[in-house]
This record gives sequence, C-alpha cells and structure tokens, in this order.
Amino acid sequence: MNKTRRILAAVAVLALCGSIAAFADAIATQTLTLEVTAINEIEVSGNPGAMTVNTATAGSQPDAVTNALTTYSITTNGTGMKITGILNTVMPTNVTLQAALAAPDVGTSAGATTLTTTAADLVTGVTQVVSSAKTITYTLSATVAAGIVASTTRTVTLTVTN
Amino acid sequence: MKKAMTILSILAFFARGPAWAQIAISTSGSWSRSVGASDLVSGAGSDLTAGCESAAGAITLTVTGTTGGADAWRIDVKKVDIAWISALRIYFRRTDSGSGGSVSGGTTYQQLTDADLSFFTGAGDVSGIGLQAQLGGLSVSVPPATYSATVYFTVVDN
Repeated sequence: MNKTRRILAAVAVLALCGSIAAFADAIATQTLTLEVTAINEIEVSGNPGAMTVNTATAGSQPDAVTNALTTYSITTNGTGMKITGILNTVMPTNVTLQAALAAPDVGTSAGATTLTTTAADLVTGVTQVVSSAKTITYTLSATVAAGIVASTTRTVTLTVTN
Repeated sequence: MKKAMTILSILAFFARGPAWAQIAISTSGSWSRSVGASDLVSGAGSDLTAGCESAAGAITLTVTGTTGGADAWRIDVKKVDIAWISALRIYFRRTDSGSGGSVSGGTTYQQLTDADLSFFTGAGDVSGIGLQAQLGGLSVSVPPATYSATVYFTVVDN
C-alpha cells in the first residue's frame, strides 16, 4: 500500500473511532425495575349470627340449620390457588359445622365441606381473580347423641394459599 | 497535488467531527417500585390501581458539549425490554427545564416503545432536566415477578 493510501486508511480509522466515541456519549440509559409481589387477600362481610338446632321430625335426626347471610371477597394474582377453612377448636361431639363457598370467577367450589381443626379445601383452581360478595353457606347439624349443647362459639379462618 | 488536495479534503471533512462529537447526555437518579397488596384499590375484592408514577424529577438529564445557546438538539427516548411483560407500559414526561440553555416540549406523558421517539427539544448546555416516569397496565393479571427494562435517552444534535 503506498503512502497516500496508508494516510487515508489511518484517517478513516481515526474518524470512525471518533464517531463511536461521540455516539457513546450521545446516549444515556436508565434501568427501571418493577417488583410485583404475591397478592392473596380475602375478607368476609361479618359474622353469620347464632345458629341453633332445635327442631326435628319424629323418627329423624334433628333438623340442620343453614345460614347464608355472609359473603367473602378475594383478590389474588397467583395461579392455581385455593381457599381453605379451619376451625380454631373442635366442635362438640356429634355436632358438625359445614361451609360451602360460592366459587369466584375463576375456581371450583368443593360444596358443603365439614370444618375441623385441620385446614380443608373449600375452593380450588383460583387463578388471577378479583371477586367480591361471594356467598358463604354455613350448615350446623347435630345428632341426638350430642345431647343438649350449651351455646358456644367457633372461629372459622379462611385462607388463600397454594 | 491532486492527491494532496484529496487528503486535505478528507481531513477537513472529519475535522468537523469534534463539533458533533462533543455533545453529550448523562442521566442521574433512578426509580424502582414494588407492588403488592397495599396497592389494591380497596382491599380484597378489588384490583390493583392501574398505574403508579415516580416523583417529579426522580430522574434527570444533562446535556453538555454544545457550541452555545444557539446549538439546537433533540432528545429521543425508547425502551429495551430486559424482563418485561406486554401488559405493562412505561411512560415518561419532562417536569422541569433544568438550568441553562432552553428546553421545550415533552411535558405530557408519552408511552415508550422499542423505537426512538422524539421526547423534547432544546438548545445549549442544560443540566438537571427533571423527568417523571409512570407505569401503566398493573392488574392481578400480571404474575408476581421482577420486571425490568432499560430506557435509552439519545441526544441528537440538530
């Protein structure tokens, strides 16, 4: 390569390097980060009120009592979540409390499910849902073997979990 | 002689380069956000508030290296997704004019895309131009995760 061509090549390389440096300074960047945390919120509208088993048809066990006056609302951004229910204390002997939760917009209700001190699945398949005022139906039943049971309270805890 | 003139012409052409090469842009500040249950509109049974925004001036831009107050420039902006989801949208707007020079436009939120968009214009060296970022598209349909994107600000010397 003759002298002239070497000069031209050198100039071209220097100009290119200068241009790259100019472009690098002409750009500034910012990285934005968004963290979305797990959201699993459930609320109930209130307490169902006292439920009393006090009627029966002769020859049959006492009549069960139902209460569908309370509701629940749920928000979750999870996938395949479930709602479980658990009692704080066991029921009196031969007395049973069941809960049936209406399914939210995405999910399947297990129907009337006996509540114990072990968490029971009440709704399954809950995925990325916002639902409000879904009915909770409580059913209290007792057999004659329960005898007379003094008024007592139980706390039902509903949990959104996976 | 002809070769010498050719060489001199090329050198003169690239000698203009330093005038272009000097204009520069830098950024300071940052913005990140964590979204959770506290961002629900009204607790269980409600969705997330659709968007959130940074404080005004959380991010600033500085333009330097101009040839003076008459040296006009333009800021382009775009985003490059690192770990993103199409439901989420990023918006930027200018919230103040910084110090020095002059700045115009860009005071209305505009959505960023992966292509450069004209953001605002100015002239001369300007420091601390305040920006505000906004995120849109938040809902329970956005799975729990960490999302990130890089925003590119390019100064174009007019």
